[in-house]
Amino acid sequence: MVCTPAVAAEPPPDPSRGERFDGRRSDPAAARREAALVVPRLLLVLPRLVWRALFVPVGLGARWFERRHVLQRVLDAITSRDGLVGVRPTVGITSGILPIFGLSYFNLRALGPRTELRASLAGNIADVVAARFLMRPTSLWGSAQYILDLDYTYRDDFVYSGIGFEPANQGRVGRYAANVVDVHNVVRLDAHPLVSFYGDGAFGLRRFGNGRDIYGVPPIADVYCTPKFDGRCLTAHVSEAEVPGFNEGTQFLRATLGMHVDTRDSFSAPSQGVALDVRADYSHGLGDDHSSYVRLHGILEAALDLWQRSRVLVVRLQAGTVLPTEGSSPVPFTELYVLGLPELHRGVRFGRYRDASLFLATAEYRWPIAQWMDAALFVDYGGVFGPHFDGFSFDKMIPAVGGALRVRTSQQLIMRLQLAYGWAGEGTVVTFTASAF
Amino acid sequence: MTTTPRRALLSIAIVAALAGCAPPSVRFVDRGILWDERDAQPIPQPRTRAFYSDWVGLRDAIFLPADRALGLDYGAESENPNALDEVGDSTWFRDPRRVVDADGRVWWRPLGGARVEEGPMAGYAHPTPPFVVTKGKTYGLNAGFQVRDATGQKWLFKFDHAGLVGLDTSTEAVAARIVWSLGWNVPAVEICDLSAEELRLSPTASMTDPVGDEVAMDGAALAAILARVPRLPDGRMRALASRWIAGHNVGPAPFFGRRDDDPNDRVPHEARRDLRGLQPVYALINNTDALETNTLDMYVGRPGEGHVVHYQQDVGGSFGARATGPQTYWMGRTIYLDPLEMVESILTLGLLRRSWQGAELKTARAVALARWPEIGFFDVEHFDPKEWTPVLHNPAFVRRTRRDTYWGAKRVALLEDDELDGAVRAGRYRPEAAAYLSSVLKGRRERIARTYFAETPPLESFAFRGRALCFEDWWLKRGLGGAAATRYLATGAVRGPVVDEGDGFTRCAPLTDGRGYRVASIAVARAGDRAPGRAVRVHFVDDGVVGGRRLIGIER
Repeated sequence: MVCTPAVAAEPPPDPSRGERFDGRRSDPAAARREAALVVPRLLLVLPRLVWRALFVPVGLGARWFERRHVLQRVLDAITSRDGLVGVRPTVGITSGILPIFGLSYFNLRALGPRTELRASLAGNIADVVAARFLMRPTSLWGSAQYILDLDYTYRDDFVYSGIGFEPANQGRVGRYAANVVDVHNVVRLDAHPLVSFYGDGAFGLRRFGNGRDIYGVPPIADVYCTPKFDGRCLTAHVSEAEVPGFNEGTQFLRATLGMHVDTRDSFSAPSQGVALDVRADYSHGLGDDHSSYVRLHGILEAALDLWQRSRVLVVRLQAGTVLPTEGSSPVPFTELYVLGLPELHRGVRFGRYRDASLFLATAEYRWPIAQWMDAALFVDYGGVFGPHFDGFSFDKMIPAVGGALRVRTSQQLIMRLQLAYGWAGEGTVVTFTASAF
Repeated sequence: MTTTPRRALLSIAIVAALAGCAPPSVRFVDRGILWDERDAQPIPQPRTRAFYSDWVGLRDAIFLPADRALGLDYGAESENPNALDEVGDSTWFRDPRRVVDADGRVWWRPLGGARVEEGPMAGYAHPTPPFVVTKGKTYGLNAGFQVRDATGQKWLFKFDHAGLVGLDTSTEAVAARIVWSLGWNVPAVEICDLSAEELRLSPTASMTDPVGDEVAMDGAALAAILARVPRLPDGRMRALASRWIAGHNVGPAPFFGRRDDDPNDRVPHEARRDLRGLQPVYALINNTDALETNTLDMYVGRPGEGHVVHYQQDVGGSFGARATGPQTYWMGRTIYLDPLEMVESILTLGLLRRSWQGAELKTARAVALARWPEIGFFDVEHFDPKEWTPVLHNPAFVRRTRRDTYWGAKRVALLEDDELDGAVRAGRYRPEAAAYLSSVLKGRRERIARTYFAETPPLESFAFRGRALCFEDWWLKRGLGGAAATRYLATGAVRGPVVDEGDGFTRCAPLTDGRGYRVASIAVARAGDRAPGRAVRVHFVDDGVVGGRRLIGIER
């Protein structure tokens, strides 16, 4: 059938004259919808204006930066063309001690393929210096690898709160200064893809001094002083009985032997497998340092894949003890186990709880929240005890819970923000770190 | 009779009763249909706007989503569809397939494989050696330079990354043809395999360094660029030759806002259906780089007499390719920075699983890259049309409504098998890679059609034949199955059985008696549906005689 085209009553709409594209005079449904939104939108006007006002300077700044290629220029200035050599900022902020800021340098080609040369220098204008040099050259003997690790730290905000888990000690907290030098020469032998043995010939040196009053924590000499006959403190002199090794410092040679068995699929972010690390070291004081001691330490870690290597539970147990040899003077206080370091109980403030033995159990659940960011929830449960775990008691174990966010950038920079609450009466411990290490 | 068909019939009866009583929700005007937006009127040359990638990323990831939330800017329909819920030709989009018959019926003709293979190069001469290099490529992340060929035509040559011949070049050649064949403006591009001997360096050649400083380009600089280019087995280099676009570059064509210095630019871009509806098309080809920086506004004509033409200028971030190399596993599934998703993940402790998470996806990508290095990770199995997204929130895509998405899906469904094969031929892949890419494109096309045609009944090409209203059912036309189980519910100005016209997908419903403004409502129940779904409402004016019926609006 042939149809005769019907003629519309009016020509097509002309949007240039403000007419709707569909030719209708109005859209009552849309008008009703807009009318219903008038009041909610009015209520949101102010926050919206504030938001827009905020973004005006941000936009201007971002465009200015981009026009001048500021980010590119900075990245070019601090990174080689192949991305294997560069400098990155280093930041370390932890509750209770001074923040440090600095730079870390990496060179992943100077020593050959699959090698590392790293150095960092960070500090704080208030007398904190932390330097590190790490060298992992190309393997010279097949499965054997050499690693040189030099560390130097000077801080005057180290915290000392006595030896042993004595709540009474927690009222006696003082700050001390320390020059800390560590030189590690590690040789690792990969006996099997899953098993390696390592040895370390290390030298260490520590020199101590009185600290400063920071965040309300007084210098150590005000707290752990050597009393005069009248019971008052001998000025700027720390009690050797309470703080062994403080006045003379310590210098030592340390030999370590260890074994590492690792079936995990990744060193930095394992999602399945088990790792066992056991080591023993012997330290021998030099010069006026008459201490000598053996330290035994073991770590067992299991990563459980909960879902497609994306949701992971990592459980870790570690234990260690420091055993003075016969005839040794007291083990210097810095060589005992100290809770409150990032790897040793995250819910305890830096420098608290120090003794000859350690037991620590941790469980960490990790999941990705963006392609470049992980979140973690963790529980730490541990404490320090006397030699041979003397006085071990669950009453002396401190539980802590916390969460962390870890950002992995494509530019050799790892950032971690961590909050932990420990039942040690010290509140929340906040840590933020950023570094190329 | 089993329970399910009885329930279905009951539902149909209830819906029919309700539909018969309901007044028309929309009333159209008896006037011609707008098939030309008339946005090419002469205007003064607009100012040139700068390209910002970092700022646009920040804006699209953080500023605009929050601003949209505070403005309750959700659910608004796009502004430029005509009364038939279609989009007229404009400087953004020009449908090369659409035919509007004298009686007002709209239908789409296939372009054919050969025409799609030629694509945007139709009517242009191919690049002819020798090529004089005039300028190093100043933007983008892969190696390249500007050349003038033996005929004086200017081209931009882009190359692949080391070890990945075809990943960038062939991808863009194919993707550009698909986008072009559906109506969007893209540069004329084609694969050009050339040898170093065919290149000459202009004595005035220059290049821009990464921080924007202009420096002379010497032989060493050219050699350095060529040294990064992977070689074909015969030693030649594969280039993507992109014909210099005519006109004056006035900056990007954003997916948001309007050009206040272009009176032709009347509709906010985020409210343009031809931009919102680009989402299913880009989902088909996995163009995760659908960002403002990959668009281009060209002022065409002499100053004061020209107008702006809007291009999707770089669609090479498609299939499994990205300008920096292969796409990573998460692309197409999430965006760089989605604060809301991150907060959700934190609060739910990871119990909410995302499609980009998990080892299986990463393994599939690794396998795909090993097998199809020239294509990258591009498959059907891991493709979810609704979830698909570019690497940043696209302000137009995120505002798309069901109707916008249907319109875009309809474009995807228009691609015939031989047209996809023709587009793939332009990529000059090895035969097995070409076959794989064709099969993936067809699979994704079907998945898009199946997803969106289930939401909106794909009834098209309405026409009056005698005393019946006829239409095509694209679910059946695309072979999505269930023809025997498909039931139609015709109400309003159409009643009675909907009959098959014999071609398997054209159906006709008898018109009831009546005159004046009338609305016919047709809903569809597919196999497994317990009740008919959403209806398509066809508005027409009936003069009561054969040939006296005019289609004036379609409501979906």
